[in-house]
Amino acid sequence: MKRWKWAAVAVGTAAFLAGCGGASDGASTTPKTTAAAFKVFGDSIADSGTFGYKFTIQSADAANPFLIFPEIVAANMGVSSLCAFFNFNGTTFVPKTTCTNYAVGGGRVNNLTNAGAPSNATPFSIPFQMDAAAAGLTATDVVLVDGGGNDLADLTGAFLGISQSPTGLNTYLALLGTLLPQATIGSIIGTAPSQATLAAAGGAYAQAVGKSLAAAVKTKILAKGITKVIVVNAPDIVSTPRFLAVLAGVTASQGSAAAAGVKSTVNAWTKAFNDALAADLSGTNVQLFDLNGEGAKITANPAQFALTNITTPACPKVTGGLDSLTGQASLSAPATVAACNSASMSAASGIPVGETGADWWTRYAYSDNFHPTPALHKLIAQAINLQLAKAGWL
Amino acid sequence: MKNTVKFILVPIALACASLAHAQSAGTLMVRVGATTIKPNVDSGDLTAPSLAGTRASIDSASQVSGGITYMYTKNVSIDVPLALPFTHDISGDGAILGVGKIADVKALPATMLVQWRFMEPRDAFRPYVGVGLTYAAFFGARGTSTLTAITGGTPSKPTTLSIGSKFAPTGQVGASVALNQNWYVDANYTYTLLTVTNTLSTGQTVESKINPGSLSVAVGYMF
Repeated sequence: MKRWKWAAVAVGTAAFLAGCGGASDGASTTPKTTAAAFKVFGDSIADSGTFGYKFTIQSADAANPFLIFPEIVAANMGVSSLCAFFNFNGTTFVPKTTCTNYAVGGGRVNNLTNAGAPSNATPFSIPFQMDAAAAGLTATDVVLVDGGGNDLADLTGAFLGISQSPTGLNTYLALLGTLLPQATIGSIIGTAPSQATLAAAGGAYAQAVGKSLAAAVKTKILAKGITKVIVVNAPDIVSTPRFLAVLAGVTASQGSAAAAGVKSTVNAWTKAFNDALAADLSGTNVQLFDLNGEGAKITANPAQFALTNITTPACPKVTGGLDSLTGQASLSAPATVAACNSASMSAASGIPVGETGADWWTRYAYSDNFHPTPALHKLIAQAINLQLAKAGWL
Repeated sequence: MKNTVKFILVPIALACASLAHAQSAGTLMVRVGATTIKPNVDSGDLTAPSLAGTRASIDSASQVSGGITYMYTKNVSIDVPLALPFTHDISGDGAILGVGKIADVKALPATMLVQWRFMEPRDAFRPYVGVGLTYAAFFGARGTSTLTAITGGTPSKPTTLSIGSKFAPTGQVGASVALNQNWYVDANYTYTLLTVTNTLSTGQTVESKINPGSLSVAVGYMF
């Protein structure tokens, strides 16, 4: 009798223990969607190294570069690294045909407003980037497009220039004229231009830029039969350290009401751009990512996103590396690119007053005065991936 | 599977061996059946950096189960439920509702209960209540590619998660119905007050009140 009892207990215990077989924690590394190729068109926040570097803090560990958001999204679709198609050699752009990231720092939807290269037949033009890729675009490609930020910055600069120089108004009107018919501009501004009518004309321009980007996506990407397209709308450029400095300048010279007016004008333009983009892409299968809205969430509650500073550039200020307009660190200057390095910023001499810990810069939103840190890039990528996961792509 | 078969065969093999009194002091009872665990999840929010309200839900899981009960007196019994590991799917909830499955994890609750069985040993119907302690062991957690994607990881640096195993109090209500002197059927419901901490390889954590309720039905043999 007793023997039977113990036999039963032993068998039961064996069954119990058999289940404990030591499976350890792990992760699936097979993406839900594997992109045959991942192609990117856009500006600096999507540029994998056209100018030899990415527009963010530089990783001291060459084997582990910091990833920008399109690279993180691509990696989650099985494309482990992206490289720049256009490679600037100091005078011209040299195509590297094995690479699929066509985005170029300074890229614009309407590049006629690019003072350095006012032409739409250059890689600075996002539609031109798409044309350069056209022959190789196939239906199985996954495409990510961003744009509008630099267009809006050009518009803002020209608008602020109206009061700063006698030729400012003509410069502004010329900018509007690169996309809007003269009759349209004339009907909005009338015979006696005011701040309000000039701002309204800017809104019409921003809307036209948005429609222009949507048209490029439709005719140059969707027309190829590509079904997985991600379009990232224009960020809230008003929140960048660069724009905050510009606004501070307006406050100093014209008062806070004027600064508030500029801010609301630029916000309205950004909204006009994003609304036009969304309206013209509605009804397509494009995943339109609201970078502007995501940025607003982060700005409203940085701590939720593990950020402690969303207003100061993390890159150090170095001689020859500053934005001529605001005096802040700018990754457009090689001196800042060299200095804005994870190793030197983590070194004791690189930790700014008020910060502690070698990883202080991982809690900053902006690397220089216009571009996200790797931390912010990761947050943007997470948010895009979340949208794609909800859509069943990831 | 082999063990499962063995487990099922034991009571059958023993069927011709016992002449014991039903559910009296000293009786050993062995049962086999099935259990469904339904977590009653109240997830906390994932710590920063995350979207506000990032939560997880845990799906129900079923498994072959059984147990051994020893009648210490005619009313007091010691019960050890046994089961093969349960595999629970974990899905996004709150701000990440709609992303689908983000992980699965194996759970093996090891419980010991002290029961009070009402009525008399010879009664066919004996309801009971029990209290005890559960050690909820979680292992083999496997994050999906979706978890990696929405936490900013990449396939070369995937996001993994682990769930901390812990002890938790368990309550039980149930009843057994004797079919004859040896065979009986048993049904019980246990509820465990369990809050666990899920930790991602990113260092983020989320506290989840799981409070699993388990419904078990079994056929048993008394000897």
